[in-house]
Formats: sequence, C-alpha cells, structure tokens
Amino acid sequence: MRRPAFLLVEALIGIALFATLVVAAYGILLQGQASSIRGGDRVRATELTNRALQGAKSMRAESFASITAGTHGVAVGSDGQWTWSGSQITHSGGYITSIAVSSLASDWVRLTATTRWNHGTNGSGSVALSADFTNWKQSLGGNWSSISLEGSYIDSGTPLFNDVVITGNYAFVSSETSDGGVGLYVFDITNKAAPVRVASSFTLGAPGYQMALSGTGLYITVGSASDEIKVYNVSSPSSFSSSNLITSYDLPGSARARSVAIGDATLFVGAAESATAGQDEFYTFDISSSSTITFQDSLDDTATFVDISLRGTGAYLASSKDTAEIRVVDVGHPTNITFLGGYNLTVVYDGLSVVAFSEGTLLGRTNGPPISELTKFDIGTAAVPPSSPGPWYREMGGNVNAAGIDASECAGFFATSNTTKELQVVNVSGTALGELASYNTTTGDGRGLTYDASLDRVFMVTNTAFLIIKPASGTWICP
Amino acid sequence: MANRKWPMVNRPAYVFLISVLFIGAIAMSTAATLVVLGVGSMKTSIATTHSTQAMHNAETCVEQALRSLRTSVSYDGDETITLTNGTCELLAIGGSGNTDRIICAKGLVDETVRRVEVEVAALRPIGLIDSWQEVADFSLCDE
Repeated sequence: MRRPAFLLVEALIGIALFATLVVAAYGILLQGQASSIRGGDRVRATELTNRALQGAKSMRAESFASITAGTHGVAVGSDGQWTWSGSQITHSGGYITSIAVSSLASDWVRLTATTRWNHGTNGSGSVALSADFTNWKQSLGGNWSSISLEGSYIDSGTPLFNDVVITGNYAFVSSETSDGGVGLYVFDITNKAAPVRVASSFTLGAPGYQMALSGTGLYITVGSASDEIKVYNVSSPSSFSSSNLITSYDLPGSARARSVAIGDATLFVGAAESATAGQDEFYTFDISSSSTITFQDSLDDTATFVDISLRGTGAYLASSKDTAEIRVVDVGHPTNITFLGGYNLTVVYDGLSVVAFSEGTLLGRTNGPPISELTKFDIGTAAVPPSSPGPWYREMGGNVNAAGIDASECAGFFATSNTTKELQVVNVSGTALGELASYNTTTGDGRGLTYDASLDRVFMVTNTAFLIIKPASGTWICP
Repeated sequence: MANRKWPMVNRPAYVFLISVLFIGAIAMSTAATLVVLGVGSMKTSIATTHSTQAMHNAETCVEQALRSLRTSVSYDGDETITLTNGTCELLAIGGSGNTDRIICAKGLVDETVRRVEVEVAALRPIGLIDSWQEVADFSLCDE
C-alpha cells in the first residue's frame, strides 16, 4: 500500500506476458493443427489415388485395350465394373483424382494417378502415384481354332509310333518294334517345316512306350523283360547313342511298364495288369539322383495303367479297370501312396489317356458305340472326380489314345483313331466340349501327342508319321 | 511483523504474474506437443504415400520382367530400373524356359521398401501365374 504504482506495473507486465504467451501458444497450436490436417489430407489423397490405380488395374485385367492413352477419371460403372469416367473424379471433401495414361509400347503403358485438393485456409496439395502395366496376359500363341500341318516325317515302314517328347530343338519319338520300328527315334526340329531324323543308327531293342523328361534325362518305359525303365542322357540329341544310357530298372514281371510321369524328384510308373503276387501296377521311384532309380512304394490293382497325369498331390491314372476307368492315387508322400478312389463310367471301355488341369480332369477312352469317348470331370472339392456337377462328354469317333492341353487350358488336343479326324482340338474350358478344329492324316491312327508351350505346337505321332501341327496366326481368345 | 512474514500479501500482482507464467508454460507445452503430433502425422502421411508408391514400383518391376521374359525366356533380371517415383530392383529370375519361373522384385522410394514374389506357371502362349504376393522377406530368391 505504500508503493501502489509498482502493483500497477506488475499487473501490466503480467497481462502483457499472458497475452504474449496466449498468442504464441495459439499460433503454435494452429501450426500443429494444420500439420495434422495436412497429414490427414495426404493420407486420404493417397488412398484415393491408389484406389484409382487399382481400378485401372482391374480394367486391365478385363481388357488391356481399355487402358487408352489420355487423362481419365476412374469410377465404378452401372455394371459394377471399373470404367473410365470423364477426365477426373471429384470425391467428397473436395478431392479431385485423375489418371494420365501414356503408351510406352503396344503392350506397355505408364499411369500416373494424381489427387489434388484445395481446402482454402486449411491448405492445399496433391499426391501422385505411378505404375506401369504390361499386357503379359496377351496370348502370344496362335489361333487353335484353325490348324494346319507345318511339317512331317513319314517313315517308309510302319514303326507304329507311340509317344513324343520335346527337348529344345529335338523330338524323341518312341515306337513299337513289331513291324520294323526301332523303339526310339530322334528328330531335329530346328526347321519345323522339315523335321530331320538324326542319330538314325540307334535302336532301343524293344518297344518304347511312354516317355518323360527331367533335365537332361529321358525316362522311357520299354517292353523289355529285364530293364523296363531306361534313362538316357539327351543333352546331345544329334549324337544320341546307346552309350547315353544312364541307368535302367527292372520292374517285377516282364515287359509290363507302360506309362510314366515325373513330378519334382519322383518318377511315377504305371504297368500292365498282373495277377502274380508282388507284381504291382503303380510304382513311385526317387530320382533325385539322375544316375539311380530308387524304389519307394507301389500299389496293386486289377488294371493296366496306360497314362498318368499329375495335379497337386494326386496322380490320375487312365485305367482298364471295368469299375473305375479313372483311378486317383494320393502321392503326397511318394514313400507311402494310397488309392483315393476312382470313377466308374458307363460300360467297360478302358481309359486310355488322361489330363488333369486346373479346371478339371479329361479322360479319353476306347471307342465304343454306346459311349462318348471323351469325358470331362469337374475338379470337385476332393481329388476324386465328383459325380456332380458333370461329368460332360464328347463323341470322338474313335479311341482317344493320347491327350494334351495348351498353356491357356482352353484347347485340348486328342490323338484318336477316328479315320478322318486323327487330331481333334476341343474347347475344354467349359462344359460344352465343342470342337475347335481337326486334322485328317492318311498316315494312320493318332497314337501319341504332346503340346509344347514354348513352341506353341502340337507334335503328334501316328502309325507311320511324326507330324508337327501349327495354329493359325493372329491373336486368339478362347471362344 | 505480518508484512515481514508474508511480503506478497501486500503485492498480489506477483501471484498474478507467477500464475501467468505457470499457465503459459502449460499452454506452450500443450501447443508444442500438438506441433510434434502434427509433424508426426505429416511424416506418417508421407510414409504412407512412399509405401504405396514402393508397392507400385515393385509391381511395375514384375510387370516389366514378365514382358521381357515373354519376349525372351533367357532374360535373367538382376537389374535396377529407374521409375517415375523411385526405383525397383529385380533379382535374378529363377527357373528356366517357359514354365515355372520365379520373379522377385523390390520397390523403393527413399528408404521405404516393399517386396513382391511371383511364381510364374507359364510365359507363353499366355502368361499364367501360380502366385503373386507381397512378402516381408523373399523366400523364393536369395536377396
């Protein structure tokens, strides 16, 4: 009370300090709030930009041609599919998204999606994301709804060719020996219009049946009494000779091996039926070492297995068993295999060929008036073909001796004994099993075939010929 | 005597002044915290953008690898590609020939990395993919 003026000054200082601190704190607070808002805006813009790119990617999945150069908005159309919508899309909150597409090649585009916003005093900004799309789903193969002969080798005798496998620019073709065949032939297919037989002095010494390749090893089932599975080194096909034999294996019984398939380091062999104890019909071998064939397990059955196809942990066998023309074996553990079951088709015509693919299983059978020789089974939920939905059938007009499928799993190829359609190409992607094309040869029955994806060719063998079939050129979409 | 024992009683502005300083300190601390949070939010949003772009970069690398492989199955990858926003690293492509190929790609934006691993069933005549997935660490390739 004696120095009142000091009180006034102190109060003024206090008020001034308070005001300064409040202003400073408010300014800093606004700064923090603005940063938070900008961060939120940016996250939202990033999500909207990414959504636009994902929408464009979805459009690409449907049709690469729809990704046209220019600046677009992208939105969900009335049909529920992503589609271009104007030159930009305005989202709630004032975010505007557009995609600029530039073409780098006919099968390559670069997309830059940008989202911009302007919230006035609350800030503005933009986010841009970029990505490249290429048309890697585009078919580089030909049109299998129209086929023609590209080249052939016609033998002067009747070798009765059985099977064919392709390694690089060479084809190995097995044959019977009953009418002059040598059991195994080698062809140089560098010029597919004119395949040339090489290593022509080689003879297998017994009929050769199915073959499979693993690396440089050719595994062939042979109609011989003591070495029914032979393994040859095929790294130098042009000089192929008996000295290329790596090893062989004698199955129980005599000349019983018929079919062969390889999955990972396991060799699967199907054999002719035998009632003798110890002579089983399906075998697994460890071939992790290319120089040895080591027995793992076998199964006995009352059937001959002339073809094997692998899918997942299942081996699908074309069977002569009257009550199960297709048999399924669980081979998830090759040292302990078990029958999972089978499917009993109408009457008793044998299964001759089988292809297990991602949509189902195809079985070709012996020709018979009351049946349609080609059967497609649904893949089902279990490994064994289900009775519903399907199966679906197609009349082939002859034995379906061998089957294959293209990499797109649309065109199924079938070597048949149909006298005017030895090769039949069937649309196997649906249930209608419609014919896409066929080829008529005068060289005898279609007896074996393989489709090579890298060459996009079907190699078929008949009684006397090795044929190379090509598709028509041009882009092909499975009908 | 009372004045000597409690000198502030007669000068209440000191109480006011100290209170102002105390409240001001709290206000400044709160404001500073908000600034730190705001900066954190901003950094998170930038990281989100970078991460998203890094994923697109990795997938762009796979797309380009598929295109190159379908042109020539002998294409072996093992290269770094500069993109519009960042880069991508393509590891050595696994397998050989037309089927069963492995593509591993890393997308990078600044220090943000995303990895994609692809198992290719077939290259031609059409590209068929067994699996296409983002991974934390490559299991099919040696990085």
